[in-house]
Amino acid sequence: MSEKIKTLEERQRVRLSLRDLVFKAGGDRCLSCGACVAGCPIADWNEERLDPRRMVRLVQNGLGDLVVEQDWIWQCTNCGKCSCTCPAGVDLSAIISAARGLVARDETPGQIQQTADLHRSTGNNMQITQEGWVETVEWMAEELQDEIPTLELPVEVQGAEYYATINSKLPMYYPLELQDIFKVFHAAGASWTLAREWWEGTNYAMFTGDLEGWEETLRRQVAKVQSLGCKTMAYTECGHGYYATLSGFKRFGIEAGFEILHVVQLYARWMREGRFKLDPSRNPQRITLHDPCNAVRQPSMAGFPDIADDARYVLSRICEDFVEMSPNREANYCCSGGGGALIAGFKRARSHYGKVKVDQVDRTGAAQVCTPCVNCFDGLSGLATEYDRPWQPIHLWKLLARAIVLD
Amino acid sequence: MGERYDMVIVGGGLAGLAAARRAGLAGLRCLVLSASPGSLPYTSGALDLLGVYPTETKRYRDQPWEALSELIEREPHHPYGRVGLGRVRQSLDSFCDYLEAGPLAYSRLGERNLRLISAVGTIKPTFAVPASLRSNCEALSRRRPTLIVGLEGFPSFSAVQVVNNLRDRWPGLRAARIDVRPLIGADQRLNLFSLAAAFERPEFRAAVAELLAPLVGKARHLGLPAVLGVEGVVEACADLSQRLGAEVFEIPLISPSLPGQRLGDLLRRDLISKGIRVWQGAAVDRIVAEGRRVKALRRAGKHRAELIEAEHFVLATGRFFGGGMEASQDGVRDRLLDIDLGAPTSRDDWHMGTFLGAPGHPINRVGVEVDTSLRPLGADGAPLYDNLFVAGAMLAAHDWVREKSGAGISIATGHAAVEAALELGAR
Amino acid sequence: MKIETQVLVIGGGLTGAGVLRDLAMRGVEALLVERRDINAGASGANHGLLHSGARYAHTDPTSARECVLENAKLKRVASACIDPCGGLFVSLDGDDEDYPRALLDSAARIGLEVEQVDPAEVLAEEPYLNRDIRAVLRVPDAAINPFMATIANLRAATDLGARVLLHSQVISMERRGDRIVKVEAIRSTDGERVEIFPEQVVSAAGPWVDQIGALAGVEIPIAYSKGSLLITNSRLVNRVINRLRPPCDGDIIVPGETVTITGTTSIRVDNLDHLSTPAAEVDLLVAEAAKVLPAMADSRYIRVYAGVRPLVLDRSGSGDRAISRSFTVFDHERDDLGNLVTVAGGKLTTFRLMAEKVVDLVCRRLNSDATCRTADVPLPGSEQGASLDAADRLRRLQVPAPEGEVICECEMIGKAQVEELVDALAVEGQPISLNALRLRSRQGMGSCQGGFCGFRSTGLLYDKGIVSGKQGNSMLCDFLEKRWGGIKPVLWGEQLRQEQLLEAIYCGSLNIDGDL
Repeated sequence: MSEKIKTLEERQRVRLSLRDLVFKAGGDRCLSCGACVAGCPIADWNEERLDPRRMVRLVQNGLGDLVVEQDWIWQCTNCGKCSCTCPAGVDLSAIISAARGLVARDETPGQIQQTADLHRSTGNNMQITQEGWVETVEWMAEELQDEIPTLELPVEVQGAEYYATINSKLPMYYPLELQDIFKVFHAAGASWTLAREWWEGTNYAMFTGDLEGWEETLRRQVAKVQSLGCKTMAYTECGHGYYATLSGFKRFGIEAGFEILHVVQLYARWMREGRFKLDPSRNPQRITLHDPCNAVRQPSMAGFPDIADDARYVLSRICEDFVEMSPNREANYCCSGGGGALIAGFKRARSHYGKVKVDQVDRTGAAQVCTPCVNCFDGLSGLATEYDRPWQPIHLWKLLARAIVLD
Repeated sequence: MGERYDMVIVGGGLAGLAAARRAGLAGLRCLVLSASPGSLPYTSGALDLLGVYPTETKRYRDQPWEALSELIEREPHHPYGRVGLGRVRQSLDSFCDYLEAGPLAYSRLGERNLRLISAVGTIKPTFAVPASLRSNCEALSRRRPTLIVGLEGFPSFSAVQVVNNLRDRWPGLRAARIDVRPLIGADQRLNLFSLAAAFERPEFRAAVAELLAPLVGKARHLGLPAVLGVEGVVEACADLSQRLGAEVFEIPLISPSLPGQRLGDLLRRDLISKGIRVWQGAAVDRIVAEGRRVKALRRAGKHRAELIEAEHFVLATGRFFGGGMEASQDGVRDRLLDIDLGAPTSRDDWHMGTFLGAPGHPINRVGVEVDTSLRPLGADGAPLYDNLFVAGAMLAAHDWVREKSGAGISIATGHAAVEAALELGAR
Repeated sequence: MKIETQVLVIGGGLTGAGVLRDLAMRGVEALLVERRDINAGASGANHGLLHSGARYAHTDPTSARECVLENAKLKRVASACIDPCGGLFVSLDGDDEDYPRALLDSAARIGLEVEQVDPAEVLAEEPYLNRDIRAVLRVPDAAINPFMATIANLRAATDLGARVLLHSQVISMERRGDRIVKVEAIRSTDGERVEIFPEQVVSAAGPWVDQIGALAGVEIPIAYSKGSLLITNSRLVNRVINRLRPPCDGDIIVPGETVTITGTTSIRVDNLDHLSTPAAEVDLLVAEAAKVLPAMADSRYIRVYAGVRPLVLDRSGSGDRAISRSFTVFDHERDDLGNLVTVAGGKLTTFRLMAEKVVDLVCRRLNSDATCRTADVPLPGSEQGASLDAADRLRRLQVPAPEGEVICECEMIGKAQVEELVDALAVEGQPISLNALRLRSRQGMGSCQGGFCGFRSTGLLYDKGIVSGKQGNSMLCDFLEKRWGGIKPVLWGEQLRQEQLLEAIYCGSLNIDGDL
């Protein structure tokens, strides 16, 4: 905790604003049952002694300003499990988001706000230039063409059906993963395109409660997709980008005129249409599935389509030994990297948080954890290293690409 | 989702999940919708059939089936009365057999009720218990030398309280306390979850056993608060028992309660493995019907709602806790059915003058009136819908909390609702 | 046990505590007996309102004037018990349009500062207020915590050598001629008989003064006027909100630290036992409050409680609201009893003044010319002059967060705090019960009304060896039953859900209602 609120008026304003929100979010309905605490991987873990229940009480009792100054609200990954578990329907997750939003920009911990600002001003989180971006994707496509000579890399194709977003970590750190994505789209025979700019499939402003940044970034992304005339925007294995878009449309009243899909929904759709020839024996190892919070639980609670069923449909056809972790689907636990936690700067907290995930994966005996989200991938990767585990995360695109048989 | 189901069940509590299992056994394509994880996490994990009857006398019944016959005769409109003794038996047998064969290894005591030590040292009558609670009942009934162990830093349980309340009739009962906090690590507070996760680890159990070993003495049983692992509880108990040379059992805690949570998790897992999704996270807020035929239910997420179509529907939305029933200052309604449930006109008559006295609060008996097929009745006495059935605690004419009959009512009516749908023509 | 003392004070409410303190400060040896725990009467069942005097300025100027003066004095000496939040009088469409002017004039006459303000200004400060308010007056009302106040007064007294015997009921008085020579009490915790030999006796027994008087053979004409109040789960207002019209039922809303208290009614009752509030009365209070604060219509209410005001009867027999709220000190010399004084009537706000008058009389009889200084010396805890800001007080308790397990989540009370209280009670020789803990810490006063914290505290008491056998579980059941009377009438909506969960736990999971 640190003193982030400087004046008394500010304090009063924060207290009132949060208390009003708690009221609206149903905080008055809290029955003190403790379900939220029991399901929270970061409940009461340090001297701040915060958990969802205590947070609500503090706000109701007039100490919302105290909540806003705690590190806990940033060590929480906004996974939404508390909201999902609450029998009284209190929207705890919304309260934590609002608390984050009340923290001044320059007091936001770590690099989360900076990342959001970069996206807003440059079109991607990493400040990658258009040239740099196009170079990277073309290079990856070229290499892949050795294996698949007919592969084409569509960039800025007007009227393509699918607009694929990419998480900037890929060109920056894991460019080879791009090849799996290209292979899958190619195998599906899809009409698709990348864009030169506004291809970033994330929205970190959602994590900091920066509503203005969230909206502006979203609108600019939408404008780009509209300018290319695409029918569907496909978020390639990002969780929060997908959810931030769908919920952002509702919040900000945006009528995009095109469909939003998480790419896993697309894999399943194509698979049902019989577009792939598959050989599951290419993935003989035991695989389990992590359900990214923003692609499963959050959309599920919001009434948007979630990828739980589709991910399982796809996996069941591309690998030989799939086991569920427990709990799963909307009851699954966060990877520990959500909500900006990977760059919030609280490494010990994240490590503590991840214990529950490590236990889950251990219990499955899996060699790989299929993780259809770039941030979750990093989160799980970090846990595997930290806890010295033999299992590793793997993107669904990689498993799928491997199982796809091309003639 | 866009799919069509044979049956959609609303409510992820025991009644909803038991109904879903029954639907699965009948080969129905089924979906369960639940706003929250339901009431199971707040229960002891033990299944109650009938523990007290009649509630006016608070008479404990050792023979629940006998008591059940009596109840059905006196109260034909009680949910047990609606289902009938034969079908109650059938459904209980089916459900208990299934749980007995499963990883939580439930068991019964033949025809008789079991008695369970509670977290405050009172005794709770029940009918079927998971393995981790079985020797709780045995130690109690045989008055075997037993050590109850409390955990330093865990305020939801006092071994001293348990022993003090039972010692007058159980001289061989002792209390002790151990401190496992150093074993968990300085960062970690003692909460239910962190403790349970720790007990799943063999190294932790070994260290705990070392702390306990000098305290065991002549005890043949050790009772610990119910934190002994999540899914791995049976293994955890067996391991500890083996290390200590005494049978280790759990004592169920209150809100939330792991044995209850485990049962819910198991039911959901098994349903999903049979292709029945238990879809949590949003409430159903509307019935879409054409005349007396329900076409769909509306699942209302935070930002968007969707309609889910099916042939038959079972509502098992519970009472007030889960929001299925609502009480305003003037009356009680079922939210989804949108009907008044006929609570006493004056709110002064909803509850007794005491909290815990007999026979129980009148408002607990208020609920949805049904026909013999468990279809909810409208004001005119006819079923509101042809293809919608009701199960569980939301039914009228019972007081599960005083009768100690909650699980039995859920299971029996859950099954009966599905069977009624089948009889009336579900595929 | 035999005790000789100069003055025996009967009644452990705020008045009795105030009397004890004043006596002690004037160097008089004194003993207080109370048959239950502190604030068992009206002092424990009121609005928590420190009147500015505005409410009665027009209809009962004597009482109002007393409030004006006492309000200022208490803010000085009891600051730690008082949240100087200020108050508003607001009128709605249909309220008497002449009343605001009349009130302003009356206020001026009694030296009360009242300011008329623009409704728009106030609507910004109070987001839940009815947007359609007409006239608004600002007054120096405040909220007071009567438990803290009684405890502080008793502390001040015992620090100066006074004695306090709680759970000790006066059962008889021996009178010889025109003097009470002996008073006998029984301690309910162990049945011990206490024989007290006082020079003077002060009866500050609230609505029981007539019963005490009867023991002494004197008649005290009082009426019992029950008033019910509702508590919400959240704090919906920042200031005291009064209805700007002649005083009526249900027209005061007071912010009580983390909750809101609204009331009250005025219903004659015949006896003081089994006070209850029927649903109709509750609904009336909700409806009245909702007129001023629409959010009150849907609010979650966690409790209703009723207190009895002892109203000293005047001969005109008009409605209870017309009886002066000013207090009466009965000098029983006129009843041929030279060493008894009874104080009755009055308001929480004027407790110190009531005590002053009583002690003036008692000191005259004791030939002491010591003067009252209770308005000059701050009470224990109020020496720094800091006031009761709920958020600040809580902040001090919550930052750094309390070590150890949490016993009461609703009020965020940790194990260390509970243990401290238990130890303090043990040192004072007071019985340790869940109720005693509740009165001194707010444990059990929150949303769950003791359902969860009572459970945990009982475990703690067993672990500490304070209770044994089945005693602790019985105490827990008793505690829940005691809370029940105030819970039952507000069981609808969310509070019903809370109670259903607790009933499921206590009867379903624990079978504590059973006899196995």
